[in-house]
Amino acid sequence: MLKKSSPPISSEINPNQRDLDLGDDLTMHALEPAPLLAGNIDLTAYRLPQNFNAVGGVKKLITSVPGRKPGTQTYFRVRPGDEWRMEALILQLKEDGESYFVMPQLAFELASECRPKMLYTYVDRDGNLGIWPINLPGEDGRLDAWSQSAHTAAAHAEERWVRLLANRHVGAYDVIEATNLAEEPKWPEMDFKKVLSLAFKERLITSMSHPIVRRLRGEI
Amino acid sequence: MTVDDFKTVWVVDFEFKAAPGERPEPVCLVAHEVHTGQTLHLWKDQWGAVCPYDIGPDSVMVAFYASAEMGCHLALNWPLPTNVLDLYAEFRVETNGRTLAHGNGLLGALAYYGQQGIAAMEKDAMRQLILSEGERTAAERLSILKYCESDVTATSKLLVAMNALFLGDQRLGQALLRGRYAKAVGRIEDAGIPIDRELLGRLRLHWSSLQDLLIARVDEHYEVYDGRSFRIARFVDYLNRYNIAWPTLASGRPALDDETFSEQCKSFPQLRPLKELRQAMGQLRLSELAVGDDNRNRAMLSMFSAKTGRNQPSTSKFVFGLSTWLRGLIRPTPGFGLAYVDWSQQEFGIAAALSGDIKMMQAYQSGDPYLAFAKQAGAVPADATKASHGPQRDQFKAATLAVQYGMLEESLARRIQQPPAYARELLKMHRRTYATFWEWSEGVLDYALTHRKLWTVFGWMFHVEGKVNGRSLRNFPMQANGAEMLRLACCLATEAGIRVVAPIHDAVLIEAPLNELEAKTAEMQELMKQASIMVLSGFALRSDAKLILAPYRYSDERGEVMWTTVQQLLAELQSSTEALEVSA
Repeated sequence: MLKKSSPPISSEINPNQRDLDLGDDLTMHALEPAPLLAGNIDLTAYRLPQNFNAVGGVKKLITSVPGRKPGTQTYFRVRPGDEWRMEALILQLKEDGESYFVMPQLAFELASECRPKMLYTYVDRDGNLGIWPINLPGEDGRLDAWSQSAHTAAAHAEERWVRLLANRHVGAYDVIEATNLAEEPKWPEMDFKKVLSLAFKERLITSMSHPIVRRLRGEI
Repeated sequence: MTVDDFKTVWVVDFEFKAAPGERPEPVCLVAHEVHTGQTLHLWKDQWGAVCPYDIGPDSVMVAFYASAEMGCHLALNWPLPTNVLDLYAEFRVETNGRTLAHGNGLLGALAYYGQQGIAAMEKDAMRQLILSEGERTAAERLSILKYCESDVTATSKLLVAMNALFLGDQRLGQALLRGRYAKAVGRIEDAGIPIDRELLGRLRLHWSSLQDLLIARVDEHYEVYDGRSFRIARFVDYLNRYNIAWPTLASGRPALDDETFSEQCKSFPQLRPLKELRQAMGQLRLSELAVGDDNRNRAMLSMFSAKTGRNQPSTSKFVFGLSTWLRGLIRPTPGFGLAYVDWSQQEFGIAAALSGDIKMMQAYQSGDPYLAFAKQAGAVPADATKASHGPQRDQFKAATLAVQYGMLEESLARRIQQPPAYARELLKMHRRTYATFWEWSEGVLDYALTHRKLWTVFGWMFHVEGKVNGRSLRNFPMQANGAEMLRLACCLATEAGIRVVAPIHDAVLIEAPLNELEAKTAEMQELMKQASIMVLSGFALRSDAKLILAPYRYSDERGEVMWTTVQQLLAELQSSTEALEVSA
């Protein structure tokens, strides 16, 4: 059998060709009538939109945001801009790695249990959002090498997809950059305030009577 | 514009005989004009060369399953009506996906709208009378005409019940577009597919003996048959011997259905002859292939029968419904050629255009979407070619197809013969690279689950009822809009005078004299491009064409081994039969 292909198609892609958002029942949105001529019917008049995602009235809700360092096997990007990060007082439980947001007025009383951290917003390649707490310098102005390298990694992750690898020999994180990944991160439609509240909604210490505090003080 | 705005609205029904593989032979017709109430009752000796009712642009012909009426028009050399409203197609649009207590025939449709027609028993008796041999007496003629009229009355009632659907220009326009396809189907069924009937006759004659020889010849590579029985334990041994992972049922036994075999053959092509053999031993009924005296295979295409709106012709009467290797029976008549023209990566292109995923559209337009996907995912360098990165391209191709089939990582892993983790990563790459497509795909599923319906660009509807299959729902826009595209291409081609002899999923088979074949093929490709542009709002799909020039026959690489084996065995069988005859 002989084989032949059609010539390459040169038509330009029209990024605006998707149908517009017309409401939730597309069948109600008839287009302008066209003459009912057999043969060369103007079919565009009979066309129905196919943008089911825009009209379905369904959206993915983010109900949980982890407040921890990205996994060592996860490539991630950090959201640039001061509006997407903040300094906060964080109490970290060593045994389970969980971070608790401590209200600033408790800083003096919990000085030995918590420390100031920078909370960065990050996202992985599958669109999963997270808050990454990284130590800030202590009262003496010093910062450990792990935390220094973590801030460096966060800065790098604003522009590139990276992952962290603990280098115990050096005592700091190695930053592995994915040089081939050209895709841009997909940030959920949500402001930082909401991200923060999802990350710490169950882990917010507002008083000394919080069970975690009482446990650390040996009261319960 | 509404149906009532047409100058004349003719509800028409023919009674006809149709021997297997032959064109319909009209016996009588009844036509009823809705506005005036005029009714024509014509026996076959009462009509002439001119159609007795108005078929011009100001009129509409209404029928239930209109391709049959179109076939009668063609058999009588009458022009086809300009406008056709097929209430079968429209009833399918209204009810596709729903469970119907009385089916989707004319009586079922009437019952759906609370109306009654002729009793089913009476209908069967009259059909028998129409099909019986010999001349009809005057009383029989009258009975048949009355029966025909009862269908016209039923169709008229159905029109009244459904008329409100067509009050808007858009809905009526979509309906007339489906009617236009009924005309194309009439022409395609009329043309028929050229078949090597002499060879078919020999195959039929020797089929029983051939089956035993086939087992002996094919099974020597597998050793799974015991006589004519397929032994599962031996098959399991074979799979273990060649380290082939095979899906199992809950019972632990290997799944042996056709779909599983077809799927596995894509990963392990060495199993294809065994699959073909199982089909040959099983449901293959060569005697039912409908071939007329003019050596053409004609079978009802069963338009709009599938949920996606695709045709669903018989798997025993239509040559493309049989096992792939039997397509070798298709052979152009002397002086003619055939062209099999199919859209390239149609599903991928439709998904790209409908979802508006720019990267996907760019991948399609690159000409090699699989390699483009690998490049976009960063798995191969930007200057990679099919030659330089063939294996990587194959894996990205498998991943692309896996997404289209709704395959999970285990199945993909089997297909590419890699660990599941590797397959998982490939599927993730697809999601990341074509995030816009995936967002749209999720939206399709969500819409179907919440609004309980989906539709195509020209209004083919799927109503979601009962237990749902998420994979099918996600895939509906690709499949059903692909069907729209094929219908439109068939309309454009048959109206342009191209002889389309079969529509096949995402392809058409056309026929032309040898000296015109290349030009007709190029024209067909252009029309298919136009059809894709109309369905996809300006996005053009490419097509490929394979030409089959007389005296060569159609061949499909998937069935070549089986076809060659059968031909060899048939020759051996015939020579031994002849030797026996000589010695006797």
